[in-house]
Amino acid sequence: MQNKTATLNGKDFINIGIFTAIYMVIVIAIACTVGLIPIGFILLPIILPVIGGIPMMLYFTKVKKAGMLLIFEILFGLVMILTGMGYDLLIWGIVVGVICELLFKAAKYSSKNMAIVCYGILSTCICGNYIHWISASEAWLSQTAVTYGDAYVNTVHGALTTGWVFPAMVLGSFISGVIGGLIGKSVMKKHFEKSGLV
Amino acid sequence: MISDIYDTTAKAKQLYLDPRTKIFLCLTVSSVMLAPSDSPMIDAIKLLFAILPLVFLIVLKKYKMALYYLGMYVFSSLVPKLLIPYLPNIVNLLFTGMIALFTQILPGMMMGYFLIVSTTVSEFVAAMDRMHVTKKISMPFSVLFRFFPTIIEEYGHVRDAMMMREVGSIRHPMKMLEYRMVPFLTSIVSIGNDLAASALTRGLNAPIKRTNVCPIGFTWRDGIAFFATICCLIVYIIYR
Repeated sequence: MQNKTATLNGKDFINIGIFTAIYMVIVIAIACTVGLIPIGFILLPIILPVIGGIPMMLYFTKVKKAGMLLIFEILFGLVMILTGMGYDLLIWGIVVGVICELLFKAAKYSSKNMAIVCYGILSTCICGNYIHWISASEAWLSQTAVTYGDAYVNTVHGALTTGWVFPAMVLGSFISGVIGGLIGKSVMKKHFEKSGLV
Repeated sequence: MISDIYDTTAKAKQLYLDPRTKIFLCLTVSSVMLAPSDSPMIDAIKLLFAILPLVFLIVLKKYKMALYYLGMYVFSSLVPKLLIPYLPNIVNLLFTGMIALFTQILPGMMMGYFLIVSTTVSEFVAAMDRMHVTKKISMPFSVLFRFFPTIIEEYGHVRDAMMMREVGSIRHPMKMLEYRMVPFLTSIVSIGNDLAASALTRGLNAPIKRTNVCPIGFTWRDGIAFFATICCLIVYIIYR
């Protein structure tokens, strides 16, 4: 079934669509349950990649041509814009997508370890959703400083804007992406390779 | 909601707006809501844009969703203001402050919901063709929309089967993940292969331009919507 040409054909587009849809459903399902608790909202980028690992590792076995990861990220960003999350994720997604394209191309689309690393990098793009939270909260804080007093504002400000929270989020999502990738890899080995799905 | 997405005939052309107008509205609402505000004029525009999805949902007769949205919005805009002075800082930092930020994100989410519910897949593809979006983006995008209901349905089947056999309860999250995800993925991949085969027989790979039966085009209603939105945007830019 494998088409040897370098350009994407209809089957690839359908694969991209399906796996983006699966990933989106996972993101939405978790964001609507865990994300409603504010502390869970901050932890989302760390929870999501672990659960998304299995479908994404299956997706990586289907990536054999240039462009599939990039289109995946663009679609993900577009859906996020349509659901009102702002355009930061799209920009981040394109940058990350290009990096992953290059890395995975260098591994000739076959290395499983490289797939795990790529998945870890792809996972960091979920943090793109939080960029506007940080920039918006700055303005929001300057507004609220009058009403709520300086002590509260300084606490929030310290945690959200100046500090280590955002880099830690990015790093955390990368690490949990790698963990999710490893889980995905072992599940693939246990189930999909035996059943001949891959 | 499922039947709304599956439906390929434009019934009553819900809201009588062109898909492109809806996308434009959606983008405007979500980007304006996310922008920081410091003048009362912008706050007024934000309130206007927050009411917009509510009106749309009521017109579409999605009363349950409209009520949910109203409740969430009122809750997230009022409760933090009332509670913050009385709670310790650490609680505010982790909970109340975050809830306050939800007001900025909810209207955008509701606009997205409205867009998906009121637009058929065919209309969406037609709109993207008119906007000269490349086939590389529009094709996976339409598959994505087509697949949302299928995924939810398939997941429901897998969950029922696993609950019937008492495999992988919530107490073993890793097992639950594995025993739900694997059958689910297996069935999704085979459905995907079927879909690919059927799409290929209908000429998905053909190099010629695709035609569409959906009547889309701008009318005076779209003109009003665009005019009103652009007016709001101009006011927003002036007062920023």
